[in-house]
Amino acid sequence: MKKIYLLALAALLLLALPLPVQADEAPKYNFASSQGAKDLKIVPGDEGTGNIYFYNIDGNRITHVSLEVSQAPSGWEVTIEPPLSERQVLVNEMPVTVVENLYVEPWELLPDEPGDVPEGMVSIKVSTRGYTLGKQAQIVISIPEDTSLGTTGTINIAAEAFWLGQSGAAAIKQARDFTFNVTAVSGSTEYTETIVSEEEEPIVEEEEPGPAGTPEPSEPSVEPAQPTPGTEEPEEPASSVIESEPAGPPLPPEGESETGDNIIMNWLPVIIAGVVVILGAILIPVLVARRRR
Amino acid sequence: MKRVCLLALAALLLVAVPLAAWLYVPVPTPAYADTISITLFGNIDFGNVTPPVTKWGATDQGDGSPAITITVEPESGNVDIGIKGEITSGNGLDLSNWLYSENFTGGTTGLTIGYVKVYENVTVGDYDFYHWIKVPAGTPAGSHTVNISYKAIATGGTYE
Repeated sequence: MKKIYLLALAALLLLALPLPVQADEAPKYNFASSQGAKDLKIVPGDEGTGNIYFYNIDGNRITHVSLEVSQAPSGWEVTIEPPLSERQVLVNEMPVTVVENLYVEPWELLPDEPGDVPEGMVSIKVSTRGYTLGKQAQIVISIPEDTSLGTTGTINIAAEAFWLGQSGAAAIKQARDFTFNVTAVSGSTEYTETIVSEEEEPIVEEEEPGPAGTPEPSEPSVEPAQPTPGTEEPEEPASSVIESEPAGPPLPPEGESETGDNIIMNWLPVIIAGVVVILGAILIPVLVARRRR
Repeated sequence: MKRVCLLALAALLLVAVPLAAWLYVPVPTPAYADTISITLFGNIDFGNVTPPVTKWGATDQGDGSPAITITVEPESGNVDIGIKGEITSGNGLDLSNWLYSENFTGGTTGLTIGYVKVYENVTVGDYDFYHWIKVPAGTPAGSHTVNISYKAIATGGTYE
């Protein structure tokens, strides 16, 4: 029985040992971030989200992060989740108020993607090193409904990382900028292509005037300028708009491009099935014939 | 019997292989545009200083032992590292009196309110910052403190 107590005591001591060691270690202030997609496509009147991930695998102090929108086009609404808020922190049992969006605790580097991710945290792949858990900030961008399609805007988020419990004449911090390039796009998934030419006059064949009030048959298919989804309204009334039906297979939705790799991946099962069927058709009769011999 | 087994195996292959290929969906790995991880070591303290002094070093620094070491961690791409300062307490000691350098010996530069690029296009490794203070005669007695901010940007970017 004594042995069990001794073993339990030793185990407890071993568990407790790393904590004071970490506290006595010289401070290491780590600020690590990964930005998700930089280029965002947003439908006017709608909102889009950019992501920034923060983690802390090389530090031994909690990293406090404050975020601020330092640049955005006029009229565009940009909010940050989680928002800036006050938080009470005990530093060596002394209460301190910090204003921050989020904080990132030191976390270990994991060789594999973690299966269980605690609430409020995200799994982050650390390039060439493995995985860890960290925090996510979402940059929610709303662009006005009257924004012209094709309009681009730059959103800049200024991040500041700071650490509590520093001593000395200078408090050290880190800063970083995150830029998102936003393009206003059409919400329609239908493919349309419009060529707007302001130099050429519309080719309209003069024909015998029909009875007043009856529309003429539109041959050839040249129509007066009319705004179409996915295009800006032409400024010059004299401009001509030629709408052409897309030739061949429909193109992938906007924002996606069908690359050679994608085509191969899409057809891979069919290719494999074909190869297997052909091989089976050749090999099975051969094997059966051999058996009969 | 063997023939039946052989045929069954062939049939199974005919069905299983295309089915497996069809069901295989690669798990998308999140793509990150930029990853930067920077760790700061050290602290900056000058203790009590009696003016006038022209170059009073941080208490914990010496030749080869900078006040602040900046480590660019392995997952980071190439970065530029800049520095700026901001007075937080104490009147009469201008920001330009807070000096820094990448080397222990040689010239020093005063802090500015905007970022100044110090290291350019650097990769994984350690980068030094030595700090001094200049206290002219007539500087009011009291506590003088600053915030010193180090900013890493992906090489090629610009400081705001």
